[in-house]
Amino acid sequence: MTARLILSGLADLFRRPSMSLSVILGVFATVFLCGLLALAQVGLDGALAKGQGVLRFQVYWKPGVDAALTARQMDWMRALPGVIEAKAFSPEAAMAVMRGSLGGAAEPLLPGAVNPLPYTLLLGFAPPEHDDAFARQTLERLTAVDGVAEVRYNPAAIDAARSLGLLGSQAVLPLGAILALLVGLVVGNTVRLTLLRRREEFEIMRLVGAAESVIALPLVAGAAAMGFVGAGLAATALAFLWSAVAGQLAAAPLWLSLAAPPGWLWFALIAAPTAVSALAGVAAAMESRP
Amino acid sequence: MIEVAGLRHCFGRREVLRDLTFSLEKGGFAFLTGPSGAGKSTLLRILHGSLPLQEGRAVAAGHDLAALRLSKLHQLRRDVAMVFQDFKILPERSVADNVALPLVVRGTPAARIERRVRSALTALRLTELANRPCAELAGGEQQRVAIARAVVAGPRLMLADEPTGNLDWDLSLRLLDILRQFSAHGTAILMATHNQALVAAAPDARIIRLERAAPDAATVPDAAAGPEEAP
Repeated sequence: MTARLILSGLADLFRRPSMSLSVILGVFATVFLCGLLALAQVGLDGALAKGQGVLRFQVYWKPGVDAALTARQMDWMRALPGVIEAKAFSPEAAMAVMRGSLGGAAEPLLPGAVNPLPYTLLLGFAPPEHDDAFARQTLERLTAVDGVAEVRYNPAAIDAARSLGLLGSQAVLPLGAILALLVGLVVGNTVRLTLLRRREEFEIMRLVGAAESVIALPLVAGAAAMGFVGAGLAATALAFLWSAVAGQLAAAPLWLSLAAPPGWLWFALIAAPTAVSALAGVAAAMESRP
Repeated sequence: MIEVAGLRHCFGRREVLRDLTFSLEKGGFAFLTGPSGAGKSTLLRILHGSLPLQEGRAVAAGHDLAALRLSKLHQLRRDVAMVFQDFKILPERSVADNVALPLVVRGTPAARIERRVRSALTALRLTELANRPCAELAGGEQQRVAIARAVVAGPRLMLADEPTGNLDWDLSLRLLDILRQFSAHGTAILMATHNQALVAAAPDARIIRLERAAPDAATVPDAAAGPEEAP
């Protein structure tokens, strides 16, 4: 009996496809926005925790510099105080990576026998506390090295990430609550609309002996299904967006390496709207009781 | 099957039923007659749980209406079926779907629903219309659908509010015959009607006659004593 009522609630969704679709889109939009905020928060938290206090410099040498001299300069840089990580790329290594990525398409971009790519070195420092001048002094020392063309570093990105993280942590709860309310309102009002349109039908069902659960269960099942589908689509879209954005953020100049969002977050993004939708359905069905 | 004692009902300051007392046994058949405004529909609605019991005592199919809670209303309505004056059918659904509704809401297995619906449709000569949407039916056909729906689940008590109002004489007699058969199988039937010819066609049936309540006095006879002559 229960299974039949649930199935009848799901079948009702197809009887009014435009209404069901509009609810699903409403849930999708709200969950997508909510999820975007949650993913940004989780990603930034992870990135900040991973790179907390690490100051990164990317050093680029001029093309055609002496290899032996550059190797000695790199050794000197690795020995600088505070260095905790270093990753070097020779022009050949960089070319190999590029050829591996681009294949034959790389050849027209890299004409002639001279390798145009420079030596590069990525350095990570653990700066001393309360030493605001450390980054500036290190930048000056690295830039002053003979043959170095450019040095990039990331304090602005870290500051921006910290600011965003702070903003996110302060806004996530109230925004999450507002968006949950929106999901509830969208689904709840649709169920109310359904009740209004089917008022006569439900009244007749009651007159022939339908228990309130017989009327409410299909409505709740339908509401939960709309929430589930909307949230599921939003989670799928967020997963695609995440994989696209994570790759972009991991490159210069941000160097934000985003860890994969935890499983519980994906679960919550789908389960919470489904539960809110079901509750909205229960509330609307309760309102319809004589 | 029905026990009513000292029943009184008012709409605002207007008294519709006053000190009504009667009973109807299992398998009994009674006409409920009286002029418009005498309270026939009101009495049926009270017995069906659609109006609250204001004063007096009423028991329908074993359910004490004074003690009936809203959460148990569906149990009363599974034992007490009603044929409404305005049919109360779902116009966009098929005849078979409408007739099956009382069984569907009870969770009856599909095979049993099919069997009982077929039987009810046959009894009401609706078999050929089974798949037609009710909106496409004539008034008399819709009324037969409403009656088929009322009998399909085998209620203990059936209340019928002018069930022949949209039927021709032959169909009215046919319906009366069907209801008498149900009555013979143990279903008590209380049928409100204006149709005195129909009442005359069932001389052995009980008659419960209601009079329109006067502002200062009600003339509600105790019909428990037995059949009355139709006026």
